[in-house]
Amino acid sequence: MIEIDREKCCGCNYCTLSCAQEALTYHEYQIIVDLDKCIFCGSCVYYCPNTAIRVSRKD
Amino acid sequence: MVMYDFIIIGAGIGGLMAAASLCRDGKKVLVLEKLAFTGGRYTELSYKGYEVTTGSWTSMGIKSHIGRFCEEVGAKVNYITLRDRGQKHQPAPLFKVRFNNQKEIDFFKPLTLSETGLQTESFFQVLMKLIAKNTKITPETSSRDIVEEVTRNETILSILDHMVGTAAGLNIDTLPASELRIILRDVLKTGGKFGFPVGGVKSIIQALERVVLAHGGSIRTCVGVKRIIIEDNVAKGVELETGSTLDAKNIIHNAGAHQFLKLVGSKNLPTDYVRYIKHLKPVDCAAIILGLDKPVTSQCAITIPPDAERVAGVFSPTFFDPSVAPPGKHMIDVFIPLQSHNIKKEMELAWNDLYKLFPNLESLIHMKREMIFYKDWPGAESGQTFGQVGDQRLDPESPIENLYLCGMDCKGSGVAGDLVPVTVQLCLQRIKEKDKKIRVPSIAF
Repeated sequence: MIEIDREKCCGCNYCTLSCAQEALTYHEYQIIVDLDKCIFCGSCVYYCPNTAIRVSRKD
Repeated sequence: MVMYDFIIIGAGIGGLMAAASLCRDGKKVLVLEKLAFTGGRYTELSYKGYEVTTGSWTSMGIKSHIGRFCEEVGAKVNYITLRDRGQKHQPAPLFKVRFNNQKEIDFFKPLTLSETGLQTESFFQVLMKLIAKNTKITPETSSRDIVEEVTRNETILSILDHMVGTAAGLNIDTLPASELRIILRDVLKTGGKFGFPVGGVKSIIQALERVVLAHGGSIRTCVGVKRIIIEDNVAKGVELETGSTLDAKNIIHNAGAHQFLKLVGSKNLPTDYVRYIKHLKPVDCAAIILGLDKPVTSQCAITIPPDAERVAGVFSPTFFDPSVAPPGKHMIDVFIPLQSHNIKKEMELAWNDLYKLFPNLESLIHMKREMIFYKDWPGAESGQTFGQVGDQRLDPESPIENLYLCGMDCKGSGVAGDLVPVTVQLCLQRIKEKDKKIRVPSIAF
């Protein structure tokens, strides 16, 4: 499960630039996650300066 | 349990500069970075063969504050300068002005241009007036106040507005004249040695890291600090997000004024100190990074578009160093100070500006990325505006003993990121008052 806190996200796009799977895109001023591409590595969490991303394993 | 001499919170350029200097003096230093990468806003993220800036664009070269600090601490960086990119012994121009009719002027050449009706001599008179020691400037004087003593020409005012937008994310009404004077003097000091670091500003970050590591310092990424441990108003260490604690004789905070309040706790700080931080006016800004099949700006570092409504300036890193883009591609960084938080509207205006400025742009775009900086991660938490310039900024010595600060929000002046070494110099000076053995790099500003 990937949650982007829209209140915190400013749109810096560090996450979309760094996602190796290109699973994150910035569209209409919000971050969209493509769950078919996302491998839940959790890297994006460590690219967000506003700690707007939460990743939990799909169980 | 290890006792560090210094724990530095945040591996931004300020934290790494402080670390490099202290490590050289034999101090046991640990730098903790919450993100997966170091450099904060002063680095690049690699994307599809492009080195995309995380905020800063460029340094100003070897004679800038950053250049001189790096040289002092032994951080070796190679630059490609305006002189390198010039022709026939003339450095390439730093600025060009480009109007919507695609007319360009290199306005450091004093000319009267009948086509634009612009007498650029008066531009020089403005510069001289701003720099001159005998021009009376008070803390309340705006940049516009001084400029209008020389000229009220709308085009010149617009050029200066856009230059100030590019340098500070502000305009001639919100940038104090005292700060503009310092910025202009700094730019003139760099001269033809204005240069872009080979490989991007990340080379500066990497050079500083090498100094830290070579002298026994440690840098840890993906490590967030939850709070600074304080006992009887003395900083003792940090507690990490994971719950572990680390001891240190001193802490240097390089993660911004608001994060400082969170890590220390407002109740542990004087009320007026907390109030100052909560009322800081940030610079909210945006960037459009474009990878292009052909260059659109002509041979200069920064293009200033006086007709643009939102775009303040356009920088071309590939003009200096083609290696920051894939082979055969070019890159431009478009800087947009935000005038509202209606981001959709702000960016629409910016794109309109770009299509008017470069009519063939759409067909050349190979890569595009919009980057918006506001909320907790603005362009700068304390913009260089009234009440927040020079000595009005945060003192590197905090109200808590052995707890210091460095970085963009601290005391100092300079062009954007070039302010940071001034804050680090002052931070080290404060530390030296307690520990005479440490050296303070002299950047002679």
